[in-house]
Amino acid sequence: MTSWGLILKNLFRKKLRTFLTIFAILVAFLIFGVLSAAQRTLTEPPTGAAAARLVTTNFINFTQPLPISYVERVKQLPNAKIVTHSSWFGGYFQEPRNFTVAFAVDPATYLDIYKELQFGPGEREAFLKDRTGLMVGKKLADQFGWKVGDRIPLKSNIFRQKDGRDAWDFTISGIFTNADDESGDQYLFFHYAYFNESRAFGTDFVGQLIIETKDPAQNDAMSQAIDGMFRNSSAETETRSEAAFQASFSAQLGDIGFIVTAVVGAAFVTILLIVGNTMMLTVRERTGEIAVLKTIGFTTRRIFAMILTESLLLAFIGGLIGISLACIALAIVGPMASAFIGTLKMTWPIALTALALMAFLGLVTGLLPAWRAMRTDIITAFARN
Amino acid sequence: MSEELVKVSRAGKAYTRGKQKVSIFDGLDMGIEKGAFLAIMGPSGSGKTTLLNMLGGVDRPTSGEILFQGKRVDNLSESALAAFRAGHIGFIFQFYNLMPMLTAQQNVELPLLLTNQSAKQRRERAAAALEIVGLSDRAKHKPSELSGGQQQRVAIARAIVSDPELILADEPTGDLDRETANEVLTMLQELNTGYGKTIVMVTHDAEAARYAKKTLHLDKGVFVEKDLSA
Repeated sequence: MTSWGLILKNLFRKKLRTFLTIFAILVAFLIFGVLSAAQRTLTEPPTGAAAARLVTTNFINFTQPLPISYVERVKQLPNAKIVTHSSWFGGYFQEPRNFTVAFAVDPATYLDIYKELQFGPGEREAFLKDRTGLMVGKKLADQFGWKVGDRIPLKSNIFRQKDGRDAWDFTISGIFTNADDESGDQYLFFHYAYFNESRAFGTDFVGQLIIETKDPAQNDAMSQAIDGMFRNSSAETETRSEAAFQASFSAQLGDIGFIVTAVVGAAFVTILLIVGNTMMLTVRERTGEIAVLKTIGFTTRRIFAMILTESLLLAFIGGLIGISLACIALAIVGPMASAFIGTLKMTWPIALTALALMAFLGLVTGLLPAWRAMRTDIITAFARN
Repeated sequence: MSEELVKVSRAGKAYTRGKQKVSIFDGLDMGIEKGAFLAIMGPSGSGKTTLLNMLGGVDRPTSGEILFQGKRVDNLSESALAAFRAGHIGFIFQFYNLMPMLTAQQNVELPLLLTNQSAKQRRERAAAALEIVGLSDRAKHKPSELSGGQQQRVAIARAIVSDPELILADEPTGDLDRETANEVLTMLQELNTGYGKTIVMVTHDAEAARYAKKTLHLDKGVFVEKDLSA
């Protein structure tokens, strides 16, 4: 028998209640872990080359297309260095559940502008040469077990071919990784020309323009110039930095920060009440035993420490299991979600915040019961019993 | 001449009930010699348990003083009093007050958590204490798996495990049938005669008091002494 043994025996004396309390804490930290990872992914600004690029979309919203002629017009602006475009394909492999993020792009300019994409030797050239060539991000290739040279039929949940077929045949020219963003290799892209000439509708329209400027310091002026150029046209534009574009994309899903704060906050207030109530109940039930411990010589400080430790243990056991489950959930869901919002993963800042929250939860829910236990009057407690 | 273990001098104890001041003792004097087995009897509300609590450092007199081995203990700080109780006093309660989630062995080990003994030493001492009360074969049992008499014997083992000079028993047989009560009282007697433990027992039961060497009757703050050892 040790002091720790005594604390653990007390903690698990009513196993069902303890497990239910741990479960409640676990759920709170599971929610915290997953939502925080989502918030991080959705709100983290891009770094590297992405930070300096501009994105032009339809002013109505980014799902509306732009005429391809805009590419040439933007190229005429003095600050334009490279202008490329990409179009959302809405692709899946064999079955709709095998969803893939897929873009039809202008190959040469796209590869020029996305310098952070890295390929194997000869793959870039092979892709540029082959109109049915397909470039696949490494994570996506790993997910489907694809390799260079494989012939892949990709279907679209938006487009059909003119002849009625719903699949486009591609040959994998290369498999890329992203030097700037580890989540930036979970998509694929192919030749716009091949897609554009065969699709049944939407010909000569593109999803968005991507612009690399000569002087990134003048990007604001460049944005205004582009949008000014197309004002009062049938397809007005909105040009933002890639970071602002991604932030607005996240905003389509709602104010993630507010959602995380509200959900986690509500979960934690509830858990605080549950755990605090449980600890108060526990101490109240054990008043007689606490009086016995004090009688045989346990000091008030020791009693205080025992109850507080119990409360902290409860918070840390539930919290650590919750965060571990969040890691597992993110490992499972992350690759699926990455196609939509980027890589979901547990980070050190999230884990450390969770640890701080566990300590806070343990302290807040344990302080009052521990203080009450410490103040237990032996004679009154025995008289009550 | 016997050595005096505890001395109570002019002890007073009063408390207020509403606006009224109620006095339990006023100028109480008593001495407890080392090796004594003292029974304290008296009607309900006569202050038997209050006196026992004061002797054990659980309660303090409102006036006067209590000396233990010649040193004043009633004015010690809370933590010093806790240390005093841990080091010198063993407590036996009417309702055993064992921890329900601990085994007999673990319950007996509890007071030893306050010492510097190693886990092995604690286990050995607890086992020895359980052997003294004849419960070695019940060491792994929880209180709910033991009879009332066995639980009280575990409580006795817990009271003696740290080898205290003074054992205080508050109605130790109050919850037991006659036969079991006699076994427990015989055990207390053995602790007194065989191991030299000084015992003060509060009881309502005249039969139980016969096991003590001396009985004091407490009534309205005054002792009436009867020597039963003759």
